[in-house]
Amino acid sequence: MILESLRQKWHELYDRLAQRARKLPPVLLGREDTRGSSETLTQRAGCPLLDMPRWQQISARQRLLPARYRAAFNLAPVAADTPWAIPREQKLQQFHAALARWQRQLPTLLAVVGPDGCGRTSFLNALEARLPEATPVHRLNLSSGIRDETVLAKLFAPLYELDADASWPEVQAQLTRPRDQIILLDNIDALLLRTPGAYRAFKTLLATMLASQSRTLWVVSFGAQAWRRADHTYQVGRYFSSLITLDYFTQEEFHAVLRSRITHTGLTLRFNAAAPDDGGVTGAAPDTAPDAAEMDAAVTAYLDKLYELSGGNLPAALLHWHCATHIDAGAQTIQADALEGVDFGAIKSFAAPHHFTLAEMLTHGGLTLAEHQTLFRLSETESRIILYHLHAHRVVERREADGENIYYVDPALYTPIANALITAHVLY
Amino acid sequence: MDNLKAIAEQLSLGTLLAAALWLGLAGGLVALLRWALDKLARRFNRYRLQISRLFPLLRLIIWTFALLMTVFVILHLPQGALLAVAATVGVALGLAAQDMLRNLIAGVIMLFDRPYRVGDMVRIGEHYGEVKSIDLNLTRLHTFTDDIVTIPNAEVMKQAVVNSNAGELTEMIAVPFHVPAASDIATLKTLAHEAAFCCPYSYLKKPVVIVLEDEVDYHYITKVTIKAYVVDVRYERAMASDIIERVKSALQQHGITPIEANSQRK
Repeated sequence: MILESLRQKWHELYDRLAQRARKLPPVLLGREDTRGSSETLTQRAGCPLLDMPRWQQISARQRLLPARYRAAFNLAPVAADTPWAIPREQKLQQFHAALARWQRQLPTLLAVVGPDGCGRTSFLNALEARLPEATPVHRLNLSSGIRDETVLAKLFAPLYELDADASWPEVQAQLTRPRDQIILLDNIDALLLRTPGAYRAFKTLLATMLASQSRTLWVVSFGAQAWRRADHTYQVGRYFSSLITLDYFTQEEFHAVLRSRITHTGLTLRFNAAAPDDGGVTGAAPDTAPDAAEMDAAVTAYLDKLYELSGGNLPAALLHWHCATHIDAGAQTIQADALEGVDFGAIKSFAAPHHFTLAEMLTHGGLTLAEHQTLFRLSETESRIILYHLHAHRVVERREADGENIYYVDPALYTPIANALITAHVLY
Repeated sequence: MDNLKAIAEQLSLGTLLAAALWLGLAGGLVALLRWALDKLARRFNRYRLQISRLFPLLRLIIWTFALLMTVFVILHLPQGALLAVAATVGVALGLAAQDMLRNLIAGVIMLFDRPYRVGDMVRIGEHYGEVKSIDLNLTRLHTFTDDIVTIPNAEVMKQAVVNSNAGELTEMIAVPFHVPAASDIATLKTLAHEAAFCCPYSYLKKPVVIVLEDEVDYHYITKVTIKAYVVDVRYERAMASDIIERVKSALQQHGITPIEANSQRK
């Protein structure tokens, strides 16, 4: 029965294939280009990463723009009193709960964890503004790589008016002395370099935090990858009593942030004639004056598209924004073109050494040439080749600190890079 | 003889061509499947092993289906005659190609019993390497000396097989080194731990274990073994080499001279 039905199906398939085969040659002969216009394909695939401008170029262009626009549309962390600062009330409530616990002299260690570009520093600014005035507050930013305990000692020594060359045991003795204080440690990722010195420094700092936690409230901010590494290596998850997890903005928060920034510039957002398949943003011609409701709907649609492209990552959104807008100073408007996606395929095609380099940068916050050499046991030239290659492909950015170049992953590219590395099993 | 005649009567040029076309299509589909799975495995390295191990099973299914379709549907051979001929040919083949049949049977058993899968790091006899393919009669290993070792499946079934990662992407690496017994134990443990932690290929989600043993090799010596997991089995040698490099340099900095034990010299 089954064989019979299969046989019947086979004959049907055979006949159909034979019919098709008779039609094939002319079809094949007539098919010169089946892909359609390359313009459409490019639009679908998105613009290559290499074509995106660098932040230095964006900053250079911004120098010519109005000061209010420059202030609103840059990457700098936001102070608590800035008009476009979005208080993350739910997260701040979590902080207040941890603060209340500490005020009852219960051991409290608080970690603030979030991916690059989610606004950890801005959140710490908001949190600092709400701290009790009576308690001494120290804010430290570990912006450059900590290679051993001596650097750690130098960092903490000024808090207790110790000499700059005070030893770590002296500084540690001050840190563990029972006194009410709050220490905000921003960017502890700098301690998570895979070097023996950093390894020891992190352990000793963790021990110090644990020893002093009932009188000192430690608020420590970690990058998402740094937190994972710290948890795998030092099991920090079991030592921190409170954890505030930040993520990228929700769609509502995202709209609020960008709308308030646009408002602050004092400029009007106008849309240039939109491309046919721009995701539904209906733009008004610049020379016609749309009514307020129409304009508001267009802005909402534009911000929705921006949210879709950036996933709520503000640096990514700002990068798209700067690519698609320009200022018409005469007309006092921000002229916005249709938004276009970016093709991140290049990230996946990098070789393993490049992927491992990116993974360390994401975890540690950045790498200098010397750190890269030590970490991967390469010669200076070999390290330069890898770092320059990544920089040339616009995957990493470069900044100078203490006379050294630090290569770091552009926070705007955090999600596609992290996803590519997780898929390659280089990040976990 | 009658059976063969009955089968021959059933065959025509058209059916033979259709059967060849059908089998060719099956072969093409298998090749396409291999290409697609290779591409997928490269793209999603995290799931490389799971993707690679689909191939042997899917290939078996495709070929079985193609053969059954060819024999019973396209050629439409009489079943009675076919069974009789198959039995005769089977006996002849069984006598003439015993080894091949043994390998084939072992290959089918291995598909279900799975002592290893594609992508695993295994030791079979004196050969150690990554399993590149498991065919019905042969297993191919890719060794660290870049050789492809082909082992008949029947041989695999006869001996112990050491599987280092058993389907996981990570694998434990043991890196031993010897130092004088008088060396400071705490320093040794710290240096060994740091060497494993600092290696970019080490998988930090799993623990690093340091094992110390005293041995006598003319003198008392201490054998230190660093046991750490590699992030991907393909970096096994790179990780071992990196850890040795780090340990050697750290020991030199602390004035400890590593010893080459007799067991290492052999």
